[in-house]
Amino acid sequence: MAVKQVSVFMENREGRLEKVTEVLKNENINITSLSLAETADYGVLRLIVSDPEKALLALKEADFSARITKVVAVKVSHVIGSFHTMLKVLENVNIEYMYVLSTFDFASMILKIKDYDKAEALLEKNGYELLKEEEAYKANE
Amino acid sequence: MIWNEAKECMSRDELNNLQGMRLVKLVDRVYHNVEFYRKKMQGMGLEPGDIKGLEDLSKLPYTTKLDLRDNYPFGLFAVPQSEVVRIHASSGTTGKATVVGYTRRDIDIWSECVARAFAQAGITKHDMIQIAYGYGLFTGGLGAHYGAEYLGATVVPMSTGNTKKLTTMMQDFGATAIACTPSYLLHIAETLEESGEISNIKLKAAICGAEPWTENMRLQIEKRLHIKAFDIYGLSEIMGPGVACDCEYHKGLHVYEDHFLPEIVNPDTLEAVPDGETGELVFTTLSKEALPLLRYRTKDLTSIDYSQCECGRTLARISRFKGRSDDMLIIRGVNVFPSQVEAALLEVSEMTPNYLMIVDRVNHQDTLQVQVEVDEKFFSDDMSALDALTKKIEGVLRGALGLAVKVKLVEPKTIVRSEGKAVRVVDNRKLQ
Repeated sequence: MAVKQVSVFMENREGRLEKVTEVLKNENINITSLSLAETADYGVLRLIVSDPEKALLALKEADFSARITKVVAVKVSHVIGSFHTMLKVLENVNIEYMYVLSTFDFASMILKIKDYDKAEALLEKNGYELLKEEEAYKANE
Repeated sequence: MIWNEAKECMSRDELNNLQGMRLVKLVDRVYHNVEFYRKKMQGMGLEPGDIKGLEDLSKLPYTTKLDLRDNYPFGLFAVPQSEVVRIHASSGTTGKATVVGYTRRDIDIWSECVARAFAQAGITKHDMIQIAYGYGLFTGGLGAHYGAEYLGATVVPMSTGNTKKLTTMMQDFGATAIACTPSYLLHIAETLEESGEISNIKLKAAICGAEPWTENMRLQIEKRLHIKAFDIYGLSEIMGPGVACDCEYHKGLHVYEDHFLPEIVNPDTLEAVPDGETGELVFTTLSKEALPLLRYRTKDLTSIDYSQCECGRTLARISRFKGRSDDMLIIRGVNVFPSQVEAALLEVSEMTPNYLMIVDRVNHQDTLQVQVEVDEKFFSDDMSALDALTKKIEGVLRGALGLAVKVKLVEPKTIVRSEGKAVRVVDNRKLQ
């Protein structure tokens, strides 16, 4: 049930981000969520898209260095404190990074966790709903 | 001031006699003590007795850096290790360093040569000199240090790497002289100008070397620091700094010919070039005991002037260098061979085959950046892993070159592919 995230290496210069989005647009691929992490010299763009495999191929064709990474996508209810409660469930799990995938109906957190299976099991045991792949990719259609 | 008038102002005839005598003794010594030379000479059908004087110099075989590498580390030494009191090393073309050695007498002669050079710059025992060349295996720091001490000056062993401390002590101690690379000196000048401290210093003279510099740079240094700047030359294979140095007339660098016999040859044909023409500088070490070399090809391109200089010295002068006949770079005074960088990079298993070295000069400081293309094997979603890999490559390069290098990760296909041999180095410095 792993959600596939597309990670792209990007130099820190003008026009690169635009080029990525151009490629995705031309392939008719929708972006449902993204985050951009940076250092002084380069960045890593992380995307949840409507068709991750197709996106990966298209980006590689366009000479980008890209790969697929497994992430956990878990629904969080629109209630104050709900995220805090979820983090408590994961208190013994090391979260590398995270970002939001939000729609009008629900919010979910995209989590990158080394011990992926352990996190999934913990969340499900505590009654959290994990997004199915298709739900994550087609969230805004 | 002339430190050693007897040797520096000898008549050419006397000098040639001395050189001839020393050459004959040298050939005999290396033939009997260095297997490499004995085998080489035997292969050429040559015996020590065939060398009767200077006129037979061209019969002798050449020596190259490759010979030093092939005999790494001590294969070319002419004395037992118990006689060697110092080892130095400099960059080699591959991973292996070029190793040199010195007996006590070699150190004394080296010190005396450097003393001559400092005296040429007007430095005396009443001066205080900061030695801002790197101390360690590099011959620059200790070579300049021992020479300055021999002269009797007050020596402050600064080494490199702490400009703030250097400029503070320069002012607090009232240092009157400095030995460092010319680009570092320009950087120091800029630092002092920016902090408004330039009027506090008592510098009179600078001895600059270890990298090529232009007449314009010398004039800039002299103007901004209100000092006289002198050009010193050397290479560790021959000795270290102090093989040659210019005088107050700045019309070439006087070679200490009583110890170093120079030749200028065509790098392709290896024939002597007509007087005054440019060619590759070759040295035969007339006095060295631990590592004597016959006709060592320096790869530096220059010309020789045997006429007497206005300063009174009869020692021949080599001109400012016109370049090199190989691809060696000098970065912050350190010799760097592109092949050496390549050998180091290949040690990193995650390394991609596409990289580019960019040399530049920023604020008078040489910089080396190695751009590495991020490919499939290299790229990871984990940024701390990417960072760690970058630091690993920087660490490997620093270890191999003795220089801090910046690694820049770039996207695939950004480094130009070439049809023939890969262009691995872009040197953006334009010496002005």
